[in-house]
Amino acid sequence: MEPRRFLLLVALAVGFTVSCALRGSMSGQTPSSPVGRSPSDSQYHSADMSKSASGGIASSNKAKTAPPTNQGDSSLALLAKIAILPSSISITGPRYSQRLLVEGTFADGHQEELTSRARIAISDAKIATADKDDVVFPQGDGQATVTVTVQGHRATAPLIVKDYSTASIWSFRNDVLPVMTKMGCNSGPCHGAAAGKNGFKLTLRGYDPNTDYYTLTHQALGRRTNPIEPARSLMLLKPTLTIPHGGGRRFDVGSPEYKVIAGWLAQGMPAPQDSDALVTDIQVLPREASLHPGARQQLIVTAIFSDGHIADVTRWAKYDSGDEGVATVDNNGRVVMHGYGEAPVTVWYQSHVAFSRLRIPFPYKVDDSIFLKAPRNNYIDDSILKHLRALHIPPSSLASDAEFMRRAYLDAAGILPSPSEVDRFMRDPAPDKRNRLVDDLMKRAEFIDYWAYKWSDLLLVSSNRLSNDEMWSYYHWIRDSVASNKPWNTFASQIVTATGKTLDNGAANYWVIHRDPLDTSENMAQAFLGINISCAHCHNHPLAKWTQKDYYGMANLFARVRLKTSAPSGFRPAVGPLFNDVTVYSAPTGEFMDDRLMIPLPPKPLDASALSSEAPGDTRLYFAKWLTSPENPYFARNIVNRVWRNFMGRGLIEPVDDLRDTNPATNDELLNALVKDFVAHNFDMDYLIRTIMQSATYQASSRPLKDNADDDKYGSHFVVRRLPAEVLLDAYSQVTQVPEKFDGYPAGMRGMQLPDTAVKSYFLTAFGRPLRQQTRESERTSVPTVTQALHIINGDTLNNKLRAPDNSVDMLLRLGFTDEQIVDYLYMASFSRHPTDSERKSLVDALATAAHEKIPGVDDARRAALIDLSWALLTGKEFMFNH
Amino acid sequence: MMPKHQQNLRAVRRTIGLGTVCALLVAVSAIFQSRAFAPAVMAASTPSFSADVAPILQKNCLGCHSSSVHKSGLILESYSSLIKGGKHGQPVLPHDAKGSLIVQMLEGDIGPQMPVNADPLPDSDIDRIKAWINAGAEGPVVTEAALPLIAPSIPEIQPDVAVVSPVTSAKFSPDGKLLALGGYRQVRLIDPASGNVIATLSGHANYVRSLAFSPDGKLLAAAGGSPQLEGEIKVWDLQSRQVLKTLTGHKDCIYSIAWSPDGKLIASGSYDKMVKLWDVAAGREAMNLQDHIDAVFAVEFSPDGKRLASASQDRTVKIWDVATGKRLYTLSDALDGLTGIAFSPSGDQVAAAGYDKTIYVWQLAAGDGHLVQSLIADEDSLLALAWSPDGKTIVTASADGSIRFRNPKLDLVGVIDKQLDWVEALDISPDGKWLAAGRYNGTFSLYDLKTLKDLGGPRKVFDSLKPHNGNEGKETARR
Repeated sequence: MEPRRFLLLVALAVGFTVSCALRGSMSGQTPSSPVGRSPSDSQYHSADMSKSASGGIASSNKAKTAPPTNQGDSSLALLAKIAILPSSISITGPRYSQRLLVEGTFADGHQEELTSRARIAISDAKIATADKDDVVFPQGDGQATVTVTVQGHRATAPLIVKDYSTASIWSFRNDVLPVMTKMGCNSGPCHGAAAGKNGFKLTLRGYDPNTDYYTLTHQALGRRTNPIEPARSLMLLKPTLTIPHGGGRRFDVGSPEYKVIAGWLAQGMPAPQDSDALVTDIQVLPREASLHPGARQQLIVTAIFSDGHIADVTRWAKYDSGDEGVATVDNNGRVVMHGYGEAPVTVWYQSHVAFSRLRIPFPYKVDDSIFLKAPRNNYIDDSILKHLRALHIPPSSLASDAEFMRRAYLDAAGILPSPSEVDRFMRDPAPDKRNRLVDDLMKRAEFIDYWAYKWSDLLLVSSNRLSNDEMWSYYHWIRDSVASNKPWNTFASQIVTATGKTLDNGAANYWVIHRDPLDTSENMAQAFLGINISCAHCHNHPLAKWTQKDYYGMANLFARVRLKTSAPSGFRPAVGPLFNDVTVYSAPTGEFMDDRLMIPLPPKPLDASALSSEAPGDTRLYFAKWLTSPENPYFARNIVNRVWRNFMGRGLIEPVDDLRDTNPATNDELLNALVKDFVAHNFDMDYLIRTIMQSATYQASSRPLKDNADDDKYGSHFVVRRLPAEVLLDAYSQVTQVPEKFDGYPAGMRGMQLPDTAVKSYFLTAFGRPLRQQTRESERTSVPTVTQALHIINGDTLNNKLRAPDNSVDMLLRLGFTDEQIVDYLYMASFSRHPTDSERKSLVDALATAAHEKIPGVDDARRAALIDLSWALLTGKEFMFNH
Repeated sequence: MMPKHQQNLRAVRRTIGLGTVCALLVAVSAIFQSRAFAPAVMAASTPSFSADVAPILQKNCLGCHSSSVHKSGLILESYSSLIKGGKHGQPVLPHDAKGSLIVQMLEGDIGPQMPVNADPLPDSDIDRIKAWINAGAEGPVVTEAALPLIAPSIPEIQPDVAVVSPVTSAKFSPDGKLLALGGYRQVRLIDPASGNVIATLSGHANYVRSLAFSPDGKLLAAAGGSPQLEGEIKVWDLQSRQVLKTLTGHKDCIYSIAWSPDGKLIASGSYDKMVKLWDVAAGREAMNLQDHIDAVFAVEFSPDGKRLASASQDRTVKIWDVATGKRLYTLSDALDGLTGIAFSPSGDQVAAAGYDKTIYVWQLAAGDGHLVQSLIADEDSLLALAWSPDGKTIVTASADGSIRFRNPKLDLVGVIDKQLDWVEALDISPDGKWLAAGRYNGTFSLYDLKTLKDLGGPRKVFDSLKPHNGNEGKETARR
């Protein structure tokens, strides 16, 4: 039997209705699907789908450009209050100054920078004076008050000047290097390159001040600096282009940059000292603001040093906008606002990071009552609604019971609800039935399968590097952990400290997969902290605070792990299964000699204090304690973010394996609250899952409103996404009632129950199953491909199931269902809903016509038509997507 | 199926649409940018290469198009090299500014727009170049077709604290009775036995980075020069203390010189990547040995004077035939730049060391050399290397603060550590009794090579320069 011969007929009949149904349920996701397009048109890989299918990789520039308002002339009539930033001013030493900002808040809640329109007065000119750019310069030690007035509004800030008459020494670490970093001298493409440039090599972004000091002063016989005639130093001649410089002009003679370097040279080039004050924190002001389109906002950055002094480093900080469609920022920290939405502007100074969250609320008139009346099931909704309200984005209404049910089953257990379950749930009048559904779902074996599979992805369970028995041992350990709802800290800790035989203690297999301290260290950070430290292998991490020493110190924690086999020694392949059953243990001593620094560094979890290299015992215990500590800022955050992504299609931080400080969350307040709650509940995974599923945010409809269609990350509506490979395949098996048979596994075993991703399956590979070779979320892809389209249309996975004897079509025929009942059943089984009246009518009509068609070679035209109908439903967007 | 095709069609149309818009935009902007509409900038007299064009090239182009860097084979240091052009042909078509590559690239019509990594030149500069080309692109009036070096205007900045020149070079005279120490703009001659200063030779352009005595001990060559401007060798008559010759020709400062055993030649290695041989009697360049691709930090003649070895930042040692100037072969075992080189007294081996912390010893043959020893010798870069006259000891100074003594098999035989600062000047007296070590902090020590004792302790070499405002007290701020 060849179903495709009826394809056109049925597709034409079904196509319109299914398209309509889809458009009904997902309007906005399919903005212009041409009428009459059939589901066989492989809609799921058409252009508009690719966006929704791309999951977390949301386009950042989708914000519409907002028309600028004429800010310069804007009326101050509605000005509610003004504030001075910073709210208290502290200047230490004669060389430093502090720039001031005057920020106005208006009656409607928006802010404007009013510095240029403000009058600034300092109570005592002997303490400090302000110049025309509102920069405050110290004049003598003491205290004074800064008063600012704008159209009758007034604000004051205390000012203190210290150490004015103390001669100050230019610091290589805190003055010279920041200038060079800001000017790009030590950036990757310039002298920070591994090979340097033109014989002159600096450490990347100045991570090693000592080396840079010697390179500049001592190396090549004082070539670059000249303390006797400072102005003749190449360090000044080249960046000012007084003599040719391949890197062009970086600053001018007489500029502040020039003055810093010339000042340091003239002071005899003082070397960096261990006693130098270090930056302990930086602050950016304003921390957040709601601005108008076209608004200009200066940022100011202050650094707090270990000796307690504070300095205005606005000129030496580096700036980057998290969303250039919303805000752009120049090299001096001047922001221009463009489009609606929120942009975190990242500020970087001496490896410290801070954000200013600047937004333009969407131009929608959203009545406050919408936010007040919106359903709130728990704190998640409070936080999401607060954020949406600030952005003027209205939330979509709740999804229907049927939509919620299908979504919950797919996201938490990887299965579809059966038609009878759907029916029962839709009839259930209990007001708490959604919460009960979540609870019941979490008791199911499929729930355990689903999460065991997810953590197996994370922990790279596969026969690539484990023997078959070991793989099962590892998988069962994970599955048992999920089944007993093992707290995540215990789960991680047991892996990190695992010892014993790999067949007895499944967790010990982690150590068979990760045999090299560097690999182990990188994987630990990636899997359990969501951070990538591999940059620090060769140099300090350019975007995060991790140094090369942190990297090697951490690796040394894993230097004592040993594997023992009963087989002859000396055989240890780098990849592939080692042996069946290995004993993992920790040697009492041992250090890892790294390949670069050539000296073992004391074992040290990234930002914790180091153990003594001589301390005997299993250093992993120390690591585990640090890792799973409630104070560890990344451990809980990583898993909460990953679980959030499972349900929302997008992490609060994206990508989920990149939790560095320079990668801000879309809703930091919510993420912090979730983390706090999760830790307070003792890392209870089921509690976390339940909390997210119970929220009205998770239960929101996927139908966008006119005013929230542009939002793909703030939680105003559910973001549709393609089913993961295994879930999709299992769903085909479930609906067609034809189980999949995987090589080496019993028939009926679902894709989600496999312990291994090395199992051959064309379908799973085509739909983006990960290889489990590297812990990386992007190993699993949801990118639509032509292969997927062709496989669904012509391939043998779905088509064989539809042709197989005793499949769902045969069952329906055997039961003697009417066309109407059949259409109803198929809708319930595939979409977890009843067909609409018009869908039902047109399909019943089409079936009636098709059943009487005479086609050569086809005995049972009705059966063929039913197969085509099933095919049409199962290849449509409504089926293949979670919505 | 239809919708699919429609989609494709639409996509195609969209592409065409975009293309058209782009083309329009380009056309429009081209009209706006076209200099046909710009007010013509015409010099009153005929534009001059030296006055109008050379300063622009000098300031903006030499970072990449100097004789030492020459990106795309193009050198813009002189009129002749500009006209000659580079890999992409001749940049200047006389009388046709619009058709000249240099104009097209400066205006961005042909990418990458020049200068790379910098703002485009101001229109006035480009107009000046165009005017010169349209007037025929005449060369400079003087017959010497080289660009005159334009002395850059450098502001005056005085040190706030007292400063002392580093000791940048050290050399014993052949009879061992004199020790010459080089520093900023001067050389001190010292009696090593007493430590007394015998003379000060001044007038050098910058740091004296290398010293060499003539084999008869009558002349002293002091080399240095200003970074990225010019290399300089001054040949002093030690009797009259007069400069006999000043040898210039290197385009960057000189890091190392050596005097040939027959006294006729001085070899020099410079940051400009060149090795040069100078005819001392004639006072001019005899040969330019070009093969290194990075700065040359050390040169040394073989004891028989037939060969010259040079060590470079490019990680290689090159062995040259002195008579012909031919490069015989290259020793490329090092993993990073090399700072020091020395022949064994027998002349059959050469040792070098540098930033990879490793000492290399090669056995030299007629057609090739092969590595016989190598050792990671220190915890930080090696800054200088010397081979004792008796052949038994190789001495290295490291940035880790140690001076180490090794036999030719590189076994450690002695250490002097805890140096007060980097030792970049190192020499062994001809009788093998003393080791002179000059430091970045301006001190030097004379060590007894047998006992490794510092004879007389670290001594100041140069006078400290007091700041005009008398802030000497702040010197403590320096390390």
